[in-house]
Amino acid sequence: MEGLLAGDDAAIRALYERFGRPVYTMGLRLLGSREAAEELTQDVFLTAWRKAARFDPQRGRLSTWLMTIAHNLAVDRLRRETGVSRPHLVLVDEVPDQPAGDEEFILMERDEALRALASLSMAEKRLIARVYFRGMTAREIAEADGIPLGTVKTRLRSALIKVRRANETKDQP
Amino acid sequence: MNCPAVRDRLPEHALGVVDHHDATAIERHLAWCAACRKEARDLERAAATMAFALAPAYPPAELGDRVIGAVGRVSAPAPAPTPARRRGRRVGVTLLAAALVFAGLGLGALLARRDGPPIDPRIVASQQEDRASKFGRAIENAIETATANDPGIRADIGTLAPTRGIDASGAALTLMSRDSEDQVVVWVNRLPREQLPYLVFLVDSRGNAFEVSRINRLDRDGNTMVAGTAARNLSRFDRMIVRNAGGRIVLSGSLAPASQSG
Repeated sequence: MEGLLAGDDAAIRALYERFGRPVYTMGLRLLGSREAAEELTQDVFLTAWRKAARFDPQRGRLSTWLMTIAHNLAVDRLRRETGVSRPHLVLVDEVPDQPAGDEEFILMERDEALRALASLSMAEKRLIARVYFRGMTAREIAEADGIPLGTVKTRLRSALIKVRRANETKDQP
Repeated sequence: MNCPAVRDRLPEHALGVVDHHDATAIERHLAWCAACRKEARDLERAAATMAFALAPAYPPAELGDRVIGAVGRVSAPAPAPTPARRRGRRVGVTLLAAALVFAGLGLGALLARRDGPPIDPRIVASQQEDRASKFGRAIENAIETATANDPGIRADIGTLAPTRGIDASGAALTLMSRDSEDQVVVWVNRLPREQLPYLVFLVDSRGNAFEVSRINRLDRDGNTMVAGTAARNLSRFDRMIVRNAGGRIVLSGSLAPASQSG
């Protein structure tokens, strides 16, 4: 990160080589066009450089920090352009089981993600996907499905905790 | 926003769908509430898992060069700052310190303390929020006093949150004036004395850090206030970090114009 702070080409390249594809993937899946995905990718790495001093590895992984930046920028852009966030939807259960990437890091991250998401029921996957990939709020889902807002919030939290526990199990030696 | 209200919104916050107003309120709460902050980080990590579950797409080969080039361009050295402004009067800091003392907010009361036996975390959180609110009001009153002496003054304030493993807190204030030297005031609470000296930095949006103060002494509870002037314009700095003698960041936080931070 010190290299990133200093604008060091090698550091930026190393960061891009590791995370460029997942960031671009996020852009393409949520924004729906290659042009938008490329713009998003550039914005994400610029933002990462601007915020590099704020990254604290003791608070979380670099991948979490960077993908959170990517997701927030993508959702912000959707809201700015459409008023509401309704990205081109790729539901988790629609994602193919076999990843097409070839880098070890991407394979490992995706494998970990799919394993963690496997701990969720189909209904929980769909619920999280509606929020994360479509940008729907708990209130919007409650209104659309005709269920109490509190129920949606509880289910969301429960699903995230399941994923968190799956990640914790994975992290244990 | 109190702990139950924040916890209620944390899943949506982690999934990136709370509006900016609520997000700001939540982040402000997370800056000082370690328990909610831990919950938030856990949920954020779970949410970030979603990003890697997507079927990979392949960016064009030249995108990497464009990204690296873009970052390289904006990270190039900035043009030299404008010539020095008129220096001389040092208003503000003394007045602020006096006003805070007058407001009955000694160092121990300014920031959360943990004296005595353990108590319900919800009560601690409530007390912390109450103290933070009083601190904010005292700062506002103090700034009004400073402004009366220097109408051109601008004040940025913020709370400093600890990094994991550190049980400390802090707050910071910068005063920027067209007619006098810019000034910095930093309060810290419960910093370990064995990690002295601490260095205080301001950081701008491009990641440039500027050392503004050094903490050489702490009282027996790890508290102190340091104040000083800066030989440069501080208006572009929006974040403060405090590093211990080993260079580790122990406190950090964003600074925002006082008029927007209440």
